[in-house]
Amino acid sequence: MNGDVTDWIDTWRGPLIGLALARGLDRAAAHELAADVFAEAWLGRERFRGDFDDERAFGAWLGGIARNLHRAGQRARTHLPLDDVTVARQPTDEASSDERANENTDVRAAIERLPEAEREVVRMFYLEETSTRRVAALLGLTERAVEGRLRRARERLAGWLAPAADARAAN
Amino acid sequence: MSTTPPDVPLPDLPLPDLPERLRRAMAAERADPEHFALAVERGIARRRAHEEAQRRTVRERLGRAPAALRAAAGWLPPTALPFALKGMLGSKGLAWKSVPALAALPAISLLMLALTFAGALRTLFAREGQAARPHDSQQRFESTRAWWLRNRWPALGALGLLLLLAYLEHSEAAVALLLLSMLALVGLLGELARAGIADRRAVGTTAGLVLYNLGLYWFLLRRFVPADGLSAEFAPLVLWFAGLGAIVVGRGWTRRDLWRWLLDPIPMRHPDPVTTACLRAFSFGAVLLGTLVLAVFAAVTLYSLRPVDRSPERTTAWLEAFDAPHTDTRAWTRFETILASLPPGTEGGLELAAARRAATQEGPLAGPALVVAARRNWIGPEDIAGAERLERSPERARPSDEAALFALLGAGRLDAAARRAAASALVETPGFFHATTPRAVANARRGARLVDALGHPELFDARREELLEQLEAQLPSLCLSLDWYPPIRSRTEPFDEALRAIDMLILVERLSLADRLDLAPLERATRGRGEAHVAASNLLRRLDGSPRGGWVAGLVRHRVFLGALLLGALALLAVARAPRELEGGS
Repeated sequence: MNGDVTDWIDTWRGPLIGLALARGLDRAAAHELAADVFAEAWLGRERFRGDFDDERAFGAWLGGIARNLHRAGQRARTHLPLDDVTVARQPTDEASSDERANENTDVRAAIERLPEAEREVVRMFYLEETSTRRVAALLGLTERAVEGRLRRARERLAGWLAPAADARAAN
Repeated sequence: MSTTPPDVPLPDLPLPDLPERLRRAMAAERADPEHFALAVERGIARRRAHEEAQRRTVRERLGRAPAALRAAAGWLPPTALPFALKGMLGSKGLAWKSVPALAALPAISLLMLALTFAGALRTLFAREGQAARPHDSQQRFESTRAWWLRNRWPALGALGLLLLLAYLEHSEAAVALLLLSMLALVGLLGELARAGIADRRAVGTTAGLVLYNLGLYWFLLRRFVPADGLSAEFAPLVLWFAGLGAIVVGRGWTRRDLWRWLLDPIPMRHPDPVTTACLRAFSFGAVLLGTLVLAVFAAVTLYSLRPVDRSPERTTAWLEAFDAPHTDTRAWTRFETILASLPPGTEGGLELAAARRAATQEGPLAGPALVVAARRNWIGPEDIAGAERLERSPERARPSDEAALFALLGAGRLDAAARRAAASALVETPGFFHATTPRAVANARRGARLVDALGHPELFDARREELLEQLEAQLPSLCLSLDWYPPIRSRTEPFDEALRAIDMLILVERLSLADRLDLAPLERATRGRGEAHVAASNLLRRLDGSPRGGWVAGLVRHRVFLGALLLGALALLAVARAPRELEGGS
């Protein structure tokens, strides 16, 4: 990858947006913060002393920038304005049917019920396809810790969601 | 960059397709890749414009700043200025406008040298897989090199001055110079921030690093400087914590950031740009010479920091092993003084066979060896010229008859009347109680012992107040490192502050003055590694518990600690008052 911002974005966008969402930002603000992180990282890349190919070091650095920007945003309530960063067109919900929509609502509600540490890794891991290594790097955790949190979160979610799924299947 | 495939369905859970359900549920929160990339590009462009505006503003503000501040900007370390201000910095002679910067130069030079070393160490101790990219730090290299090229000779002069002061027994002057220098630097940083030229990060980083270095310097020098325990032990901690605080506040770090910084300094495999920039500013010969000087400095410092046995047993062992020839007056002076420093009543239990052999070797005995030999009854009155005359006319005793009087006492040849007559004659000798120079203090100490041995301590006690005043007047000579001053340094006998401290402490103990004199300044004399230092340290410990005088004396005693507190507080204030971020427009 070696310092190409488009590669950075492809690799780290999902977990970074997931991290911002887990910190309580709404969708637009989370996208804005993630975009800020990449802009800041690109312009400050000379300050990074590790190897760009070392996911652990680079992820930790990006995570640090994200935390700083989030904190600065909380303090000043002003990110550098990214005026029309409606980064996202609203993706079409794959669930066209009411049933699928209800299922998604149930899943999102269940995610919100998770303890914060588990909610964080679930959002970062599942928002886009990524690896536990990257999640671990951004959070400054070990891969084993992230896998443990993911496993516990899945068990909880499966326990909460299975009865509703069974009921829907019975109907 | 490698990728790991996302997880697979979990058949052992009641909901095997859970991962798929999670992805579906979160699809609405994903970003559109194209729009997101566009947003990042716009963010980059906006930040560049913002930075350019800041740079313009700083240049304009520097152009409008007072001349003294402009002059100072050329001396300040690159960490203090947010941008490389090429063409705007430079020392233009040593005009009065440069005075504040010149005052800050020792602290700045020490910082630049420490950064060079830190970079070298990080490079040396780098581990595989922690390589920095060679192109990473071009800007740091440029700004550091420019600084060294601009300021190398004045900086080397300042560093040389600090080294000289430290090793020519004026360590306190070196520390005072650094403290003042640091105050000047903090003032300059504050002015720079107020003029909108440096932001909080720059001020915090610079102040923090300099405080840290000052703490390190004081940590190395504290044993050579007259200072109380509070200053010696806690001033470095105050400086280090204040330095850390300045960096944390300056950078707006959280506790997590702080731990990461402390635990993961990321050494570099490639040469550090700051180190390289410093080395390239000098010729190879100059670098080699500088390395040699610093290696000697480091070796001497490490040697002086090795642990010391300060137990009374060490003193006893040394005394029992002493066997210098009796012609070695300096060695015997040391022996006699250290022997006198032992707790009353313990001297008799020593086995001084080696010293006795040395003292009774062939050749005429004289000076301290003669006194010791007479006191210990190794020789009799018949071996001392004038002893018989003194026996007949004790009223003609003089302090120089010390050995003869001890020999007569040891032989039991002085009756009560003779002892009284000798003691009275001694105390009436002009100058007997004039403890007004270090040497006279030693004479007074020996005189006190003699009068006590003659059985008339009351004659000495009668002059207690007079001696107290004289001892008080003597303390500064040991307290303020004035031993180089000719009137204080004896021309005939090398000044030994530890021996003089022992003399003074014995007198203090003898006259029970420990509760009326502030003995803290004497601590300096106990910090060395020699036998006399150890003996002085044990003697001082025996007298501990004395009150510490008034608040002025307290201020003087704790001056380094208070200076460190003041400096730390001012630095933190300067950091906190600096603008969080430089404005984009003027």
